[in-house]
Amino acid sequence: MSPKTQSKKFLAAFAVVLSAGGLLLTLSSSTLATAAVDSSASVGTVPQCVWQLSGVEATVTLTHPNASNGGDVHTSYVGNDFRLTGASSDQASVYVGPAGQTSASFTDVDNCSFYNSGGLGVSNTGASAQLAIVETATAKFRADYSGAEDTAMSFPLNGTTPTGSNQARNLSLTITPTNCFSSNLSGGSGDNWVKEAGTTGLNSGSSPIPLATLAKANTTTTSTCSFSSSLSVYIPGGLTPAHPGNSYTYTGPTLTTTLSTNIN
Amino acid sequence: MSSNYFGKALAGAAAVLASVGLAFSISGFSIATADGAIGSSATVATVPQCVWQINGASETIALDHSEYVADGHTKYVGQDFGLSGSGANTVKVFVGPAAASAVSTDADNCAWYGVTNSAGSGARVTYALPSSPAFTSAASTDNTDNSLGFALNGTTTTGSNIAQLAVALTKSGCTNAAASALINGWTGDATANLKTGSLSLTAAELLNSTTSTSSSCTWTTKLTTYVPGGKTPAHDADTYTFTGPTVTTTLLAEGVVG
Repeated sequence: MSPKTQSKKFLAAFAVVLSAGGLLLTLSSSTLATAAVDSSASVGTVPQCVWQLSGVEATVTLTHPNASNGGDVHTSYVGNDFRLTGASSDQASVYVGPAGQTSASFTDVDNCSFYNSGGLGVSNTGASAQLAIVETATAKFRADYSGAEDTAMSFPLNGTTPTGSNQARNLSLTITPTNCFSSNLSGGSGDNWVKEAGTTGLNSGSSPIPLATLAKANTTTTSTCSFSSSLSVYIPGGLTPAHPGNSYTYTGPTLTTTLSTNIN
Repeated sequence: MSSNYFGKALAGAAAVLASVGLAFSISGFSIATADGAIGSSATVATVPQCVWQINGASETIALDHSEYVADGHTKYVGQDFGLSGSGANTVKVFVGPAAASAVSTDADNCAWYGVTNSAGSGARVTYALPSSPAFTSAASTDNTDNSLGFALNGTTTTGSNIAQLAVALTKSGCTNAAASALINGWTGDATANLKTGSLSLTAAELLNSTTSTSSSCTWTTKLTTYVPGGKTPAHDADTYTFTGPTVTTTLLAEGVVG
């Protein structure tokens, strides 16, 4: 064996020893090791619940009913009390749901949430819908012929009964609540609404009428109350038209429905 | 021919001398010697140094609501919203050679060396949360929206749960020596509720006196928490991503004696 060959073998052996030594150092220093456990989740949220009102924008056309429907034998005004009636084609509703939803959900209690309400999914506010007559001081039915008012045929809604008439000058509002539930699920349950029902005479001295009220404790994410309404009024007897033999257009007062949501 | 006879005589004498020498050598007489030496050699392998190791401890555990579907809510509605998830990894802490990926049933897969081939230290694995643990939220439309984030501070939620991260460990194969009969000297918590003031747990511990060259313990990790009720998302109807606090898993293999 040449000295050169011996030298190579020695170097190789030394390298092996160094490697082994390094491995041992690595192993003996492995007394502490750390790792990380992370966690993540994806969670959907439902929309915010809001009280909403729908079906309250309508123009009600009043017509003269015949005798069998509460009218009389006259088809035109002849100087006697002349009844006009009509019903809104829309069901007015006050209900809970996501903004923009057109009615309370029938099926999904989680269609929305009141969120920061104690974590119980119960509203932090109830709601009350009120109906009031606008322009209370001057509320009237205005009679127009050919685009101009005939003040002789216009009449105020002031609750009084004028000469020649047997009817108080009121706008009679008949409210019929329907489908009023604290929860609208599964056909509806828990009607805790305080509702207006029946007929009320509205005039310039009337206070707003509370149509329907639900306390916050009874409010759910699907609370709803709907009501239909009908109107009737009498053109008082004893009026003399300036343009007899012609047709008049009557325009009644505006009724507004207001939703209040600061209800305990 | 005479020279042939002489040669043959020498050869015969040499043979006789050799026989005599052999005879003397066998009978141990020191006066008999032979030229040569008897050497010895052997090749002996060594096993690797034993070390404590851990693997499978790094992972991200996905939490979901599937365990709590009985509450009837698939989305957060302002009530406590349970989340749980189990890690896909099996965490393994074991003794073995540095490069081993799992414990061996071979007692000689490695050695502690020293006089008694015994471990100088057992091992302890701990889980720990940061000092102010919390889940942060991010809305899909606004990743800065932490409106649903919540601290794991031990307070009672609106749904009567505790703001904490519950850790549950399902252990298996925990043994002093996988190479022999199952004897489980491992200690540690199976469950713990981590929160402010209670930030760590001991997942597994084996003292050096019961440590062998094939000690091992494995487990899976389950995490549970609740998004507390009463929170209002800044982006309602949005989907939120929650990120939990990092649970630091530490293997200590020094000074665990007894």
